[in-house]
Amino acid sequence: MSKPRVAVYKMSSCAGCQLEIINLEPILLDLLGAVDLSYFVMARRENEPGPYDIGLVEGAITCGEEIERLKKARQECHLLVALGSCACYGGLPSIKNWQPQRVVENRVYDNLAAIHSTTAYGIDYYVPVDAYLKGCPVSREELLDFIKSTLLGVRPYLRPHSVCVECKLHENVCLFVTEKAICLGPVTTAGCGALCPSRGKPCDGCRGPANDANAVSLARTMAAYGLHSQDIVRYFRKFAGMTSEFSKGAEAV
Amino acid sequence: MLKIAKDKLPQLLQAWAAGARVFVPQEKDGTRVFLPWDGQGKLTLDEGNTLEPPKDLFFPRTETMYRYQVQGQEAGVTEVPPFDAKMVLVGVRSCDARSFAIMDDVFLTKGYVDEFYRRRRENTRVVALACTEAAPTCFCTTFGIDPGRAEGVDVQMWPLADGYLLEVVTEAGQELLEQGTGLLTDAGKEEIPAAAKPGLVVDIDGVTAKLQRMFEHPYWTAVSRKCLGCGACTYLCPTCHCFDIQGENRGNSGYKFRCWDSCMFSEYTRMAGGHNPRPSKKERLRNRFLHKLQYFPERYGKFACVGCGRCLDRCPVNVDITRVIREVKEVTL
Repeated sequence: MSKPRVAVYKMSSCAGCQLEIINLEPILLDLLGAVDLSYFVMARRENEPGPYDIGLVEGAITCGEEIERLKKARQECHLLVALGSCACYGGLPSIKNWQPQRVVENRVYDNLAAIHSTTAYGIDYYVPVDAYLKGCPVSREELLDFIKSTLLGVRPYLRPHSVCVECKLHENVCLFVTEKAICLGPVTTAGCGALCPSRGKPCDGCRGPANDANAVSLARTMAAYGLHSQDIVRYFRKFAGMTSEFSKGAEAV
Repeated sequence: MLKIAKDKLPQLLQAWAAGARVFVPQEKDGTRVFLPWDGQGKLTLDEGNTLEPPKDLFFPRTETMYRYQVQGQEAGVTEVPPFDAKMVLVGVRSCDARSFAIMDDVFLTKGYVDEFYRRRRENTRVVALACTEAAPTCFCTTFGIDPGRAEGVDVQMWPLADGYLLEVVTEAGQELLEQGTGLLTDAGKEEIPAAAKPGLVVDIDGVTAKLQRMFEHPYWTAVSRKCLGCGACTYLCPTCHCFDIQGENRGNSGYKFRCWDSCMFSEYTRMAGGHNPRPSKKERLRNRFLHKLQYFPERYGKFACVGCGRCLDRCPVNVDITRVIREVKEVTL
């Protein structure tokens, strides 16, 4: 049996999620024993054409050309996976969605003639997606677990609950309750191993909304802590403002 | 009745640590938790109860259940060696001592004995510490718990200004105190200090019967509106005991482990086919309160809440079980 073929696509993104694949270094050779990274422009000089078994798409969709490439990727991949929060929800690029396109473009580019950007969306706005690997960047452990489960033909364990769970399992002191720090952990999907709170930094919500996230209630508590309503909006729109859950949080106060 | 001076207590812990793992409340990251005594830590016996209950000593957060390996057509299972270390748990408050009895009901009765739990539980001696001051969130007396004397423990301690009074309760407790010969003196005329009087008292009479008729009541929608579903309450609860079983596989071998789970999460009740009988926060929050106040009393004849106050103290949005009990009693059916 030939090895499953994996393709890695890049849309509007910082390439940090692709880098995490390379950062799997200690077990990268094991991984390459199980799958072929057939198309991975960041890591290969020569890339092989499709079809592929698994397609990992990094980045938000922010222009027409990317929509074309995404639809082609969907056609040539058996499983299409959103790799990282940009591909899942629009991620950091979606911050621009609340300002007029021309204003944002003007701030970045000198010559706007060649710029045709659209609202930043996650990839599932345009094509069906089989799995979401959240995070900025994606969690290496979760990525690996996803590939392993896919090879075994079992459902991967992608955590639907909040970061609080992992914080509790690590026996961290709660930053939100004890230190009154603004932490999005209670509404953010776990899977990162509570990376930031375990190092004393409150959760920024980079993994997007957890299952049944109650962002409205959290936003009200943030307001009760004395946070300005504009800051609450910024918190909820930083990574996943396009999701219905976090937009409710942004509009709650 | 015996007495030990405050500065002699570390020596007593050291004596116990020679033959067992001793767990005692110590300072960590600005909070109080049960940690193994290594002679170095800062004891926090006089500063109120620990942030986390000691339940993880009997029911660890994650626990390997067995290992397996495959070779060709052969597969085998390797049992995990049974837990056989001795433990001494020092400074357990009356509320947490009651929680052990509740966990015993779950793991040791009704026709099934959980060996993982039993081995840890039977290998552990418990030294309780009476409360002379109550935190604003304490309400143990609501459930008939005496903050001045714990149930089901081996030794009972009371705090004094300059030391602790100790009273033997069981034979195992007698053995423990015999190890402290030379450190312990006769208490003489020292009097047992008055027990704490928690200001928070809830009337729980008839709450089970009321809840039996409230399963479909709109009250649960209202109370669940602010719940974040973070699960902090279940992790900090000394009697919450739900777990999940997962596997970790690499190559031809792997292991199965169980880890704490929580009824506050959707995946806890999600079926293999995708159906979820508790689809929203309303059903999940309702389950938490009904389990503590209705299902458990129906099955075991006691409430599964001990009034330690951890959940109401640590909930990010102040979901308060005492208020729920009060409001449930006021609801008109």
